[in-house]
Amino acid sequence: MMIASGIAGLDAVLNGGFLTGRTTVVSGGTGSGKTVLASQFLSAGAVEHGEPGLMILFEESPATVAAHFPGGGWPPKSEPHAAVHFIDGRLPEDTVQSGSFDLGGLIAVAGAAAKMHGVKRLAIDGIDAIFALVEDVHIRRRELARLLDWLADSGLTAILTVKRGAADEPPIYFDLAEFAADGVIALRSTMIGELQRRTLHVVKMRGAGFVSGGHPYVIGERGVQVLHAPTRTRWLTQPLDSRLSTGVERLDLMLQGGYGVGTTTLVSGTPGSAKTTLSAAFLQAGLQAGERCLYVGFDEPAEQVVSDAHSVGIRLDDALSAGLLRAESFTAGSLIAEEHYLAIQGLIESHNPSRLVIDPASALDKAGGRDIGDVIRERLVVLMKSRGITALFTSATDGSIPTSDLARTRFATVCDAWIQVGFSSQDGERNRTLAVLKARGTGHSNQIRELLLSENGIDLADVYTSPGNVLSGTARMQREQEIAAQREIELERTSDDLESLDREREKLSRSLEAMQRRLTELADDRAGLVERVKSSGQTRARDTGEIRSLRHGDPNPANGA
Amino acid sequence: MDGREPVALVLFVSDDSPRSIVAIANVRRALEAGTESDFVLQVVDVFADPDRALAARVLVTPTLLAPAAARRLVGDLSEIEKLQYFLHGLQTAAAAAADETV
Repeated sequence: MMIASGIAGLDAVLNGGFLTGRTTVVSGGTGSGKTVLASQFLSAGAVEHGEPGLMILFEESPATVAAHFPGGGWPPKSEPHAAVHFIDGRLPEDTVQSGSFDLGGLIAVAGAAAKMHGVKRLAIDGIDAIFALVEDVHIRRRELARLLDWLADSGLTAILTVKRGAADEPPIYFDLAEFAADGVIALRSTMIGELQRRTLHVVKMRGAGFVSGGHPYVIGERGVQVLHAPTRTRWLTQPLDSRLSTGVERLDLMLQGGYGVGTTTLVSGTPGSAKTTLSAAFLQAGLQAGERCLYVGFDEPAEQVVSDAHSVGIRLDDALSAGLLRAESFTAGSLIAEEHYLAIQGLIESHNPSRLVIDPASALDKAGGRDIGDVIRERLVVLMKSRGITALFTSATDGSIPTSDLARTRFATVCDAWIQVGFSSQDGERNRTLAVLKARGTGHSNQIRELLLSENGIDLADVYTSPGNVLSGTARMQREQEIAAQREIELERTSDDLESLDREREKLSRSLEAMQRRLTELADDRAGLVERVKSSGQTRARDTGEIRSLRHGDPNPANGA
Repeated sequence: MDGREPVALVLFVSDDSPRSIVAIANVRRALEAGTESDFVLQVVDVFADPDRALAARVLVTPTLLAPAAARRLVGDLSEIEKLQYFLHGLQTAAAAAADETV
């Protein structure tokens, strides 16, 4: 049985919260947030669950703690809820000590106050401060055991905070508390450069599961916030074929419709290779469809990004002033990566975008190093997935730092898709190129395209591959012209052929006509001859007959006249 | 000294623990050694009367409290000199207060 801890993210780590009716020891160094955590626990109980709380303070005054008391929910309330009661456990300054003492009073007082106010949640803050006055180690151990026994019998859900010393160890006698308590949580802190990094470890939680390992946390205006990754089962699953336009028509074609809804795409490339422009096009497409969009930039003012986009015909300013687009920029190195995460999480919660750009996500490495940057980026991806946000993470490759590109890290494997933009140098000019290296769940095109920027936005052009290289820019244009010229020649050739064929045909048909005329003439001549032969035969017969009759002799047709 | 109100003392103890018994014995011995009529001692078991412990904000036991002077001495009072010094201080403070009112 769990009781909501009231600490953002901690319930997920504890699989529900603190153990109901049991005691959890929270140890940490000075300024590790022990008191804040205990305050949140009591505040959440009082405000959200109507459970009166009691806080016994051994280090700070109730006034100091109350002044920084986080209210339940958001925004924080400046004053603690009336149902949280305080007891100042500090000994008055002029108290004189004579001989050894015990903590019978604490138990009696806590019991009386709990009964009086109907307390359900108890926090004893800085208990080590009073134990430090007990010189006899045996008495310390015995008193601690007595306190824990009483807490176990009381039915109260309790938090016992204890300060860890310089060696980052709790006081030696507290091994007993850590053994006897049902739950033990350690708050740790390390310095990375000038940045402080905090992690929360659940050492044990008797009879309950928890997510092991160090969980980054921050202390901010919302109190202690623990970063947790929602489990995979809670991810919003999207149909594989639902797509969001990339804002670039031909890129949509390459990706079979666009970026998958709820997926995260890595856009990596050298400075100036149009990563941000590609991001702006993606946002513009969403804004045109009325979708809420969020741009998170690092180390470049968001206003600059908006005006740069304008120069290539991508209008974001109207949506920005209308509130459909939110654009925020951070200085990467000013906060630890976890704090950036929480800032982004806060923006997501308040703006509720369906499209998001983090540009460049590689800048998170400046806030604690590559390993932490990777952890935070992965958590961001999980956050996107849990909320169904379609996201673009850009990664700036710095040629002088081989490891600067996220593409070389395991982060590239976490992303659903990976687009690489860059330059190809040829014949003394540099042209932008784009390649889809990975696109989960699509039969994406493997071809490299030339990326063209104009005042009309982004367009992609085919590039020509010749053995061993890719042609772009002038080389591509030259190749295009060559091909066009060749085609022209072919066309000319064909028309020449056609013409000569036509000429031949005409010639033939002309001679055909002439021959037919000749044929007709010959036929006519023949007919004339036949007629003449017929008629001359009749004449000779008549003439012969006439001569014979005249000569009565032997008629000679030849000398008939 | 005549006519002065005795100084009220409350000794908060827990149960009948050895420390409680030692403390009660120590404070009684100290009071007997001095002028007994200057002090009125009341012994309170925090578990028998926790509300009183809560009101007096007594979290460690034994605690010897002088409510009028809002001063307290904690521990089993085994360091007799500290106890005597504490009692003497209370008497002086009470005398000064009485002189002012006269």
